Amino acid sequence: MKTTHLTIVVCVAIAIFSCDSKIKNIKQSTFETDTTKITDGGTLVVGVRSEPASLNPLTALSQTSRNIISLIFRRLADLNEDLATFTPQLAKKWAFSSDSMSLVFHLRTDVLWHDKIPFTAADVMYSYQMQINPEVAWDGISYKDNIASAQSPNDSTVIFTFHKKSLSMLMDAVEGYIVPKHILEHDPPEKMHESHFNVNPIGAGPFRFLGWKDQQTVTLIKNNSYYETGKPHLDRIIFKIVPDNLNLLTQLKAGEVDLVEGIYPKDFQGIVKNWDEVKSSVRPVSYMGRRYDFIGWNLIDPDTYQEAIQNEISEIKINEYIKPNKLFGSQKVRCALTMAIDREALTDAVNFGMALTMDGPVPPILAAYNEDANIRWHYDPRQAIKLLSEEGWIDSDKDGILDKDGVAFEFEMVTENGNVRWEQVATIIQDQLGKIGIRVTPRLVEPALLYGKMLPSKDFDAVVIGWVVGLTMDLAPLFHSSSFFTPFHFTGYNSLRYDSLDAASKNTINPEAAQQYYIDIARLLSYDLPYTWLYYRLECSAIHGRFKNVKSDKRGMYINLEDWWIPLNERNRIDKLFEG
Amino acid sequence: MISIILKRALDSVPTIIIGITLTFLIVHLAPGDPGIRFLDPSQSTEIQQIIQKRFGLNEPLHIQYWNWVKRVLFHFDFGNSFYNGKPSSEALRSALLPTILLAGCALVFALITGILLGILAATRSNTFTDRTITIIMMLFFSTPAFWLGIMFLGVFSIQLGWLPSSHLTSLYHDQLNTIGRFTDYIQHLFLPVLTLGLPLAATFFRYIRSGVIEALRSDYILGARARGISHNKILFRYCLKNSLLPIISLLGVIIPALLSGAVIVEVIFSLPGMGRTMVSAVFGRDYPIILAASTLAFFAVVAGNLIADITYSIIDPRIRYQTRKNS
Repeated sequence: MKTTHLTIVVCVAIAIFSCDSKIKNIKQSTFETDTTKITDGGTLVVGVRSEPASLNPLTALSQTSRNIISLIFRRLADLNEDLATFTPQLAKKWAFSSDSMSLVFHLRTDVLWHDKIPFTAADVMYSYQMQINPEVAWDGISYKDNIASAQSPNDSTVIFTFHKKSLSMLMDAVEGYIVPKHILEHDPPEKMHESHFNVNPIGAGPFRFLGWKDQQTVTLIKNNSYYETGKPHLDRIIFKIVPDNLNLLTQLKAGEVDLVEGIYPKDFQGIVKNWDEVKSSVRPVSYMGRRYDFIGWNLIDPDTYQEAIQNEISEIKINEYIKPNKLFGSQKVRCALTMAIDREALTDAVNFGMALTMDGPVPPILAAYNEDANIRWHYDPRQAIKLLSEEGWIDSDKDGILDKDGVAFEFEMVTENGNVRWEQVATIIQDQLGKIGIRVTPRLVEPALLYGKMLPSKDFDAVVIGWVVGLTMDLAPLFHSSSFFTPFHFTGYNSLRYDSLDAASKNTINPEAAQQYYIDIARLLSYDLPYTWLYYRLECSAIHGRFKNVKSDKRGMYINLEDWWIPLNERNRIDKLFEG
Repeated sequence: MISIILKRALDSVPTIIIGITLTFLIVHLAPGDPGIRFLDPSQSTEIQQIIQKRFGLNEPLHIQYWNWVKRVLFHFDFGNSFYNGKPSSEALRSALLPTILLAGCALVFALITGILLGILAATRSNTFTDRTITIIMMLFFSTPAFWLGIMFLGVFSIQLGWLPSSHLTSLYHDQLNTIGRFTDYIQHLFLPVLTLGLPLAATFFRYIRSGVIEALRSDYILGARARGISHNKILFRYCLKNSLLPIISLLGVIIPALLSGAVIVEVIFSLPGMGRTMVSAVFGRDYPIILAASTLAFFAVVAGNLIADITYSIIDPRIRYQTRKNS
């Protein structure tokens, strides 16, 4: 599945709204508060479907890589569950300068890299230099756009100076793992993607890299010099690569792997049932995930778009050159299409209850989310037909398909080949729109063709795909006119009002004002409907019940892995073999 | 003999060049950009261009091709993987050994099983034993490998729990002693070898059975019997030798079948190997790996055919005689 990281700027000081408690299907474990019971030792075997490409935070892209990296490396500070406050990590404290244009980080002096070399401000400076170097192509480079400079007056202090005041200054500064300068400085930035460090990482996190067997396992072991005394509790983590989904679930049930993420909802329901009936020791864990799926409408005419590309017109002349799409150029038509789809039934049908119906652009896990901001288009096929007739779409030739000026209302709905969920969504939509006289032809397309050509060249009618959202949010790459000619702005949405709201939300340092701008943005986009948002998915995972203190939330499954432990009487054969 | 080998080897060169060139063109002309998955929506077009340049995709196609040929011919460098930056040769080297192990064991298993059962069925032609063996082998012949693999997994790993369901070794392999490690390999390879080897054994079985039945009915065998030569000698020395000829020519074309079969088996049993490397490279548009693996596959197929031709001419003197006469 194509999982593009959508970064969204969030106001960190905004009051939090979380939907977690509202979801009946959230399954969480309890957290052990009595630390005297905790015993060290044991092995966690994580089943993953794909091999990580790189374990270097500067070059890693896949989710498997990111999960492993989060255990080997540390940031200056970690974002808390409220997505507003931070917990110190490599920085012990921080403070803004008197003019609020600089942020001073005071670093820990008791941190050792896994090769026992002390961590210093030089490592932070080097990491920053690499993160902003375009040759490295770090995927979080946009976080650093507002940072004007970084300085280190001594070995334990780093100062970041910003171009302008913003609500995301702290987030911008701490985003990105710190890498060891003494190892990486010998690699030129343009060769970073080929560095030996990518497959032999050295960090300062709770676990250190032990070995990597190609296509089989990646093994981490406890870092005995970790700066948080007494942690981690587990001795070893093995990431076992099992590409076949059926085999992975089988191994989970057989106890050959302890943890699996991204379980298909139907399989997850089986795990829940077995756990509830005390038939299995595999515990289901679910939490608000980071993915949502939607229908993207092509708002513009692909032919005039191609002409505009050939004539190299600028963003400011978009409306002059590019014509609206014959079918989806009208807001009323998009509204009718949205109302003709029973999104609640669709959400349940393809997610088995493990998703929330979504009405607008702001993901519900984010502080910027406001439940009342979106305009809700309830399922109402009669009203949909009425809206379409107002736009001139009627079945004049009585062939069961709406038409206008001799053109039938029919289109292709493309989606990624191999993604069963999206294939089901497209089929359900075909059926539902068919009932109001619209002929939809689902078309399955190879990912390379879909993301590499069709969407960037806006050569499609409608698409069903999904995004993976970051913990901070910026909708501009998807909807701002400045991104109009970039690959991910494929709907061709162009709104001066959106542009001004986006700019205003980024230029204010007043959290309340920012929140109001986000409400306005949500209202505008949920009215204009460049997407029909379908549902926000719950992440479905399962872990063996012998692991205690397991905590997970929207930040993921690995947020407190250094706290996990296994009671002595629940150790299995693998634990004992490694201990022996 | 050397001249025959040289001639056949030289004949193979154009096949390899054409095959690799076609592969290069197909992967590069397919729509889409391998760099797209490195992009975040918020990244600038400058980074997009840097990624294109990093992979050498900013050059015209014929320049890319020429650069690639130069690197391969003069430096034996297939380039670095787009996915993880590792040299392609290194990625293939680590993937090759498990595939050779799997394919080699499957081939040996298939040959032994196919030949022994073929002889057994042929010598008991049209009896209950022959019919039972033939039906079972036809079942394996017509069963897709993925289904067979899943069935074996379900029965032997999940239901009975006798054998491991994935990987080449256990997680605690390094903690075992030498015998333990050897047993560990056998346990892990048993089901994959069976999955890959049984359909192949069924193929060999068909050839051997019909070959031996035909030979047993021939005049020279009748002559041998009249001379009082023992049954076993007739069977293994005369009948089998002649029945093996089609198997040898089959071995040349069995290599691609083994490689494609290995892809499925490696995915089902989570084995490391060429098959999985190829599949991930194709889905990830990892051009250097696709091209390096294709080159290797072309060499393997051509070498397989070459070896089959040479072995054939060693076993069957008529081929040598015919070749000399033609030249």
